[in-house]
Amino acid sequence: MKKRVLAAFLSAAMVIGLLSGCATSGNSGGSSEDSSKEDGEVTLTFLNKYPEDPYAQYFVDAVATFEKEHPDIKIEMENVSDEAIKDKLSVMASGEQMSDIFFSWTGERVKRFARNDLVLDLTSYLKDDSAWADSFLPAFLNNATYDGKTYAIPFRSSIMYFVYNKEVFDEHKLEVPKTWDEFIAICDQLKKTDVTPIAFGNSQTWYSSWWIGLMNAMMVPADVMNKDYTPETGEFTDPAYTEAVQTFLDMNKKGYFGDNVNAKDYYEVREGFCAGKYAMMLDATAQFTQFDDGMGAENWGYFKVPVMEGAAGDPGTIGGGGEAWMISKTCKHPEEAITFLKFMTSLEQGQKQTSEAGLPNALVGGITKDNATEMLANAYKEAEGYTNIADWLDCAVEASIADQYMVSVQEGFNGKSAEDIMKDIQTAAAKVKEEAAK
Amino acid sequence: MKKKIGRMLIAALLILFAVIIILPLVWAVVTGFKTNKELFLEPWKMPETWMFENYIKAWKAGIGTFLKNSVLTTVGSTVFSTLLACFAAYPLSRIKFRTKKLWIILILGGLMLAPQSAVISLFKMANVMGLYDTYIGMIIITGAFRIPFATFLIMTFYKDISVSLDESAFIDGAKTRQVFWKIIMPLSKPIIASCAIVSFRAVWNELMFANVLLESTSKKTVPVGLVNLQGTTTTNWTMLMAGMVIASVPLIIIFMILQKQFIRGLAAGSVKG
Amino acid sequence: MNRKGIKKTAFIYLAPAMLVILVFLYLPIILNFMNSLYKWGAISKEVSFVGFKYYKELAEDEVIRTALKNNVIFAITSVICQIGVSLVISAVLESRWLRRWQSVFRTIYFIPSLLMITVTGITFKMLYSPNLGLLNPILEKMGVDTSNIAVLADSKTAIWGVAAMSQWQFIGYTVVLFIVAMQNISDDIYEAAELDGASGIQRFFYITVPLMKNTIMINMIIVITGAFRVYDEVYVMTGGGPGTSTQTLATYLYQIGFKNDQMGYASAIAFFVFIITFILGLFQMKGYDIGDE
Repeated sequence: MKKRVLAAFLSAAMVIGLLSGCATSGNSGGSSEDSSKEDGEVTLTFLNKYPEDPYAQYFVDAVATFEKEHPDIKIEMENVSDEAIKDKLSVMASGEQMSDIFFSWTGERVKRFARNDLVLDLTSYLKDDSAWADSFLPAFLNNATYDGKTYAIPFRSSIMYFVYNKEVFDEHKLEVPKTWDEFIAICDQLKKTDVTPIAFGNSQTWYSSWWIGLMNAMMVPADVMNKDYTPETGEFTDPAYTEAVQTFLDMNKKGYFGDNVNAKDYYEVREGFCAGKYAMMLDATAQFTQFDDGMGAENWGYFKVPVMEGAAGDPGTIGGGGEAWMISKTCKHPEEAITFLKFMTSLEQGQKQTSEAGLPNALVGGITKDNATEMLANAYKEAEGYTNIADWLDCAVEASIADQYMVSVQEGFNGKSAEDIMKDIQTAAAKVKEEAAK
Repeated sequence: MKKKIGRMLIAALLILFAVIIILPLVWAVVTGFKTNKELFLEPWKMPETWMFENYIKAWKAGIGTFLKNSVLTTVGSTVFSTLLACFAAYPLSRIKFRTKKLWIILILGGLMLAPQSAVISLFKMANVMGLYDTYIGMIIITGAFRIPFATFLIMTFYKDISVSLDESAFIDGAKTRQVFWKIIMPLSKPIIASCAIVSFRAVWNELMFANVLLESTSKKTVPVGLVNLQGTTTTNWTMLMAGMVIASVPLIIIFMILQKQFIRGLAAGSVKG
Repeated sequence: MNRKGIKKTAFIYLAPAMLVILVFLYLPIILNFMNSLYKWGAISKEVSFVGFKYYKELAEDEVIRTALKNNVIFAITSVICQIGVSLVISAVLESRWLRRWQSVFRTIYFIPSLLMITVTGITFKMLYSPNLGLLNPILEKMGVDTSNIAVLADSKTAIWGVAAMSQWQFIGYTVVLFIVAMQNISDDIYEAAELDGASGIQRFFYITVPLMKNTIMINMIIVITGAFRVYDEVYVMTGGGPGTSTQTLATYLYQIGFKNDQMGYASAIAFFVFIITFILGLFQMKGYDIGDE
C-alpha cells in the first residue's frame, strides 16, 4: 500500500513538479523586463520580418555592425515570416508583451497600434533631428502618421507599376500606354492573339486588394477617399466606388485576365507572365528583382499606371506600400531604440539594404544605379513626382472592410454585381463606424 | 473459383487505392526537384534538371537548424501525453467507481476545444506560469491537447482486455501498480504505439503554438522554419515542397518503427464477449 | 481491497491527466467564455462589457450559417470515408489471406496523414486547377463537359474539393486505428462463424462491427469533432473563398479574431463551436459502453 501511494504520488507530483519547476526557469518574455544589465548594457528586443534568404543575412550583419559601433547596446533580433508575424503581433499585443522594436506595414496597420496607444510617438525625435526626418521619401513617412503624429519609421518602400513583356510588345508592335484608354486598347488588341493581356489571378485574394486600392485611388476623389478610409467616418456610399469595382470586373468580363480568374494565384500568373503567356502585370518595385531572375533583365520593362483621363481621383497618388519599424510604449530605453533606428535608416545602411538584400529603402536618393538595377533606380526617380501613396487596400482600410472587399470582389468574378458588392462594403463600413464612434 | 475471382478483385481495388495514394506523394517529392517556373507552367512533367539544391537549401534554411528542437518538443510531448493518458485510461476502463461518467465527460469536453480559440489565453497563462519560450511549456501545452484523444483510444483498448486477468493477479496478491505495469501495459503495446504515432504526428506538424509560445530563434521548430520560407510574394514553392518532404521523413521512420508493435492478438483471447 | 482504497487508486491514476486537462484546456474554455462577453481586441485596448450581444450577432450572421453547413459537409463525408470506408478497408486487410501484405498497404495508406497539410494542399490545388490540373482532362476523357468546372473557384464545388482532399489524406489514419483494435478480436470467433457458414460480409456485420462498437464510437467522436474544428485544409487551399463559400467555423473565428481583431466575437464563435461539438459528443457517448451500469 505504501509503495502504491508513493508511485501514485510520484506520478501526480511529476505534473505539478513540471509546472512549478519551470516557473523558476526564468521568463524571457517579449518586453524588456530585465533589459538593463549591471554593467549598464542595454538590451533591446527587435521583432523583424525577414527570416528568409537573401534578406536574413543582411539584417544579421546590420545588427552586428550596430552592436560593434555601440558596445553598450545589445539587439536581440527575432525574425518571423510574413505569414506568422500577424498572429504573433496580435498575441503579443494582447499580453502587452510587445518587443521593444517591431515590424509593421504602414498605413492602417500603423494607425491601429497608434490608436490603441501601444506605440511610442516619434514626432519629437524626428523634430529634433530634421536631417533624419527629411531623409525619408515624404509619401512613405506620411503613411506612418496618425492624428498628425509620426509613429513609425519606414525602411522599405514599394511602388506599383505595370510590368510588361518586351518581346510580346515588340511582336505585336505595341507602344507603352500613357492613358487608360490606350491601355484598354492594347488589351483589346492582345485579346485577339494567343497572349492573355493581363496576368492576374485571384485565388489568393490579397492580389485583388492591390487592384482595388489602385482603382479607388484613380477614380474616387481624394477627400472622399480620405473620409471613407478613416474608420470613424467611413461609409463608402460615393458612386465612384461602385464605378471603380465595375471597371475592375469589366476587365475580367472582357477577358483581359483570361479564364478562371478565381482559380489562379499570383505565383501562377507571375510564372506565366515570365514565360510570355501574359503581356502585362501589375506588380510593385519590391518584386522587380523577381522579374530579373524570372525572365532576364533585358526582356521586361515597366510603365506607370496609365492615367485615367477625366477620372475623379488624385493623379499625384501612386499605389504602393511601405514597411516600417515601431517602438513599443513599454520600451524602457527609447533613446537607444531611436539610435538603432537611425542607424538602420541611415543612407549608408539603407543603400546596403537595397544592394545586399534587394529591399528598396524609403530614403530620398536612396535608390541609385549604384545599389540597384537601372530599372529600379529609374522607377524611383519617376516616383519622386508622386505626393501620396495609396496603400495596398488591405493595409489602407480597417481590416474587416478590407476583408469584405476581397471576399465580395472574389464573388464578383463569379457573377455578383458591383452594386451588391458595394452594399456589402457599406454594411461592413457602417459596422466599423458604429463601433469606432463608441 | 468464385472465391479466387473475388479475392483478385479485392486485391485490385486495394492496389488501385494504393496507387491513388502514392501518385500525389511521388508528385510532391518530384516537385521538390523542380524550379518554380516548372511547377507553375508544366506541373506534371519531370524536371528538366533535377534541382538537388532545393533539398539542400531547404535543409539548411528551415530544417537542419531546428531539427533538434522539434525532436525535443515532439518526443517530450508524445511521452508526456501518452503516459498520462495510459494512467488516466486505467481507472476509467478497469475500475468501478461512481464519478467515472463525470470524468469521462470532462475528458470528452477537452477534446472539443479549438486550439485557435485558446491560443491567446494560453499565451497569457504561459507567461504567468513562466512557461513562455520554454521547451517544457511547449511540451505541456501541446501535450495537453493530445491527452483527451489518447485517453479515449487507450481506454477503449483496455476495456477489451479481460478483467479476469487482473482479478487473478489480485487474488495472487498483486498490487494495482503491478497489474498496471506488468499486465496491462505490455498487452497495450499496439494501442500505445498507435497513440504515440498519432501524437507525434500532430505535435511534429504543429505550427500555431510553436509560433506563438516559442520566441527565441534558437528554440524554433521545423514547421516554423518552413513557414519562414514563405513570403507573400517571395515564396519559393518548390524549395518549400522539398522542405516539407524532408520534414515528413522522421515521421515515416517513426511510423515504421512503432508499427512493429501492431502485433495481432496481444490482448486477444482475453477479449470479452 | 476495500471500496475506499479502490476509489483512491482510481483518483491517483486519473489525477495527472485531469490536472493538465483542467488547467490547460478547461481554463481557456472558461476564459474564452468570459472573453466572449466583452468587446475587445488583441491590439485594441478598449474593453467594454457587451453581455450576450455577440451570441445574438452570431445567430444572425450569414457566414456562420455557411460555415456550419461546411462543417456538416465535412463531418458527413468524413464519417462516410474515415469511418465507413476505413472500417471496410481495415476489415479486408485483416482477412487472413491478406495479412502477409497488410503492413505494406497499411504503411502506404497511412503516409499521407503524416504529411503537412500544406503539401497535400498544394498538390490538390494543382490537380484541381482548370488551367493546369489533371482532374478536368480526366473528366473529359470520361465524357464530361468540363468547360464550367473549376473545382476550387466555384462556390458550389469548392468545399467538396477541400473535403475530398481531406479524405484522401486521412482515410489511412483511421484504417490503422481500426486495425489495431481489430487485432484484438480473436481468430477463433471468425473461425467458428466460418464453420457456421457465415460469409465475409456477414462476419463483418455480425462480428467485427459489434465487437468494434466502442472503437467505432470513439473514432466517430474524434472524426466529427475534427470536422467541426477543421482549419488547415481550408486555410491552405481556398482561404475561405471564393467569397465566403468555404469558410468553416474555425477559419472564420480565426479571420474575425486575428485578422479583424474582434476577439470578443471570435471568442463567442469559439464557445459556440465548443458547445456544438460537446453536445454532439455527448449524444455519441450514449452509444459508448462505459461498462459500469
